[in-house]
Amino acid sequence: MALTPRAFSGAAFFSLIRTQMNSNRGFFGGVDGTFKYVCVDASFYRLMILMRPTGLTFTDAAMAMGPQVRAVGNGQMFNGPYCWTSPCAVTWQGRIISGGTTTPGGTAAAGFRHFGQWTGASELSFALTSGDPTTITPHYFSAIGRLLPLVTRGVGSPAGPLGTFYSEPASTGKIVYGIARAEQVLFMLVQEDGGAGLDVPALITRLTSMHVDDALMGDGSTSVALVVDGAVEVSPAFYKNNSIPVGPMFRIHSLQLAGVRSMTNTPATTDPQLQMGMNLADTAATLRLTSSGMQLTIASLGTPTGITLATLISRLGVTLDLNLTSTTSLITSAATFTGPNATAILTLIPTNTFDGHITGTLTFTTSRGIVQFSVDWQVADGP
Amino acid sequence: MPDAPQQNVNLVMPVGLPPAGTDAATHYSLLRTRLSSEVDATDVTHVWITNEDAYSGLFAMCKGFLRYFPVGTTAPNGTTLAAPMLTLKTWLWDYLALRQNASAGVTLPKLIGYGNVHPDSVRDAVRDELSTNPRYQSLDAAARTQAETDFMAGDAQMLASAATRIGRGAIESGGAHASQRRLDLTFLDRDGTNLDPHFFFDLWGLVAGPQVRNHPLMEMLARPVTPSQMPIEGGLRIRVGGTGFTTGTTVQIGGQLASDVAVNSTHSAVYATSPALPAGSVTVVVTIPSQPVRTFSNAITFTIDLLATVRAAALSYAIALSEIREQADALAAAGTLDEAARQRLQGATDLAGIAIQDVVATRSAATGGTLFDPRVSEVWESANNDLLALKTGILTTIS
Repeated sequence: MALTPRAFSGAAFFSLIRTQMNSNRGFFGGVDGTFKYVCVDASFYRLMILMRPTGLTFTDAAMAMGPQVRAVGNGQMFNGPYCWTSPCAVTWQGRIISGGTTTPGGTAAAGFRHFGQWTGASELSFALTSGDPTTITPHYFSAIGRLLPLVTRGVGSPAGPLGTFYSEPASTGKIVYGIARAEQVLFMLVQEDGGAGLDVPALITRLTSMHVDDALMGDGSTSVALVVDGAVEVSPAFYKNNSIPVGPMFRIHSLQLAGVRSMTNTPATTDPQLQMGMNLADTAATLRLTSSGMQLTIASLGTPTGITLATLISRLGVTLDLNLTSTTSLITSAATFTGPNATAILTLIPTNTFDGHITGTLTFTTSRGIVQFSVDWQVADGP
Repeated sequence: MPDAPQQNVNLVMPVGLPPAGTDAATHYSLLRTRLSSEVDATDVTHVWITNEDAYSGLFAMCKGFLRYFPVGTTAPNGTTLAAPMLTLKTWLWDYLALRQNASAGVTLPKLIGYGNVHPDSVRDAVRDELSTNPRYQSLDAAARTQAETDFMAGDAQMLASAATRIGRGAIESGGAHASQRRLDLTFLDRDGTNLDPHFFFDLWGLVAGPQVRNHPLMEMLARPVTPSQMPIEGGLRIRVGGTGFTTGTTVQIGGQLASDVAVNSTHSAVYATSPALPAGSVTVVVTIPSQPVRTFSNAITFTIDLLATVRAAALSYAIALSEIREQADALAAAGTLDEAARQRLQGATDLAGIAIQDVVATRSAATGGTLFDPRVSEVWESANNDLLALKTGILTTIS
């Protein structure tokens, strides 16, 4: 997809960008002069690590990741020598964790920052903090080390930890990974090398003015790369493309009901045929992002007590699969879903290591009144 | 894109610049016999110079006084510029012959210094300079007052950091330097703490163009071996200045061979990467084929201290960038700066910064110290403009 022109600036940027994320599966790809960037929802996107196969360029490897991977950027600094003529094996610096396993290759870089995600969902599951990622407990599902701090808890970094990068000219390429926690937005910002841009102090000022909570910088200069929806938006230099060994990527996923799931009839129910003690276990449903917000697809109401499933479905007057849609892509604050004779107000309650529970109400409208269930669904990664 | 011209950056020296139109080499030859200096135990640099108008002016600048005139604009003397010009405020422009061929976009380094006098004394010195120096005779009273006001308007900034002052030093009434004018240069951090002046002179020696590099004060205070400190892990690039270095030159640091030895194209410097050594001072020995061995006793002190490591790293980064800049300039001058060479120089520039960061991070981890220490930031901030100028110069040449 083509990137949409939009200034990467302003105190309200991350709250306003949600509107455009809603129309593209919780994702926005933007361009602002030499800046190209993506914003993704923190609950429906996972941090993954692309490790370039030795025989491919970095951007070729990124483009081969498939449609679920919406964005790939270059990662941290890596060791020379570079692969001047064709792709070759290169060792990255710092440590990489992929799929919960520390990948052999790098060396610990305790004096730097890392970008990691546990197995949970939402901003809670992302850490942009100090130290070698392999020393952090609980262990990450994905992490990339040897990064430099730009913003920490909303405060801009001083020159000290940036060292030589502090003096990078404004025209030098830069890549930033960051998060605006209150808005549940992760972003990856790439400034193309060689054009008008911001020097590092000005970049820090820009990020803090946008209320970015945490931001880290990876390898810059002609190493910067960005692939969005399979298209190369920022190309690294030829020999860098042959050499960049790893990079972070954002992969979209759905949330699928799993584990303990319950729906309990509430006193708000007014349909006289369904005013009874009634619990439904093991409801089957999937929550996924769409081009207009979210869609909750209920494939099965599960196993009821107090009533047979056939009777319940008949009295509710629903046809499965039941699709309910929402106009927002934000699930961590009450999202309203509507569909045929049904309304749900649902919120994801996540933890850093657990996708969490979706709680709220699911209300059916029948010819006799309403039937309201209190929902507590445990969720896990879906397709 | 055509090759860019050589991107040297001249810094203003605080004393004895050649007047406009005067041959710098001749001027410095004469200045050398009139100038002496000494760094005392409190890191104040004392400079004495004979009391002659042509030599004893105390020059200074701070960022607030800089003006950049692009090609085609009107210079303070009313001429249309055929080349970019950097100058101080108008009233000083013809007196302080600053670099006149800086390329557009090049950030020129700041001079960090402080005339060790009270602001009122500075005002008096400026007033005295304006009224007594024949160069300002053409100014009327109003222009002279305006010039003084302009200059002193930067006082707050100058006191904070990144500044020097102008004036003429007091005449020594006795002692070895009797009748000479004295300037005390103090390099301050933002808290007002005196910093080691050698660090800045060493840095000037790396980033300055030929005019300043050959200035007698630079010759006296910039050390031939830089940096003078090194983390015990080694790994930093060092530079040994001099003449007559040739291919086959070797460098020993503390009895161990340094790696990646390279001689620059003008044979005036040799670069090498330091080995790891235990803490303590060591001698640097440079061996040049068919020449006497050059020995620099106790030239480098290996240290475990994080802050010293950061200072060494900043200087070493400047050294590495200077080396790359020299390579780029030499290739450009020879007409061999092709695409492959540009890429290799770009890659070398990137790797230089990464290597420096690794050395600092390793020492930081070993000491348990934090790079968020304001003193660490102070080092990088102090060096920022100089490093930026070096890097911009490289990128301009190879882009």
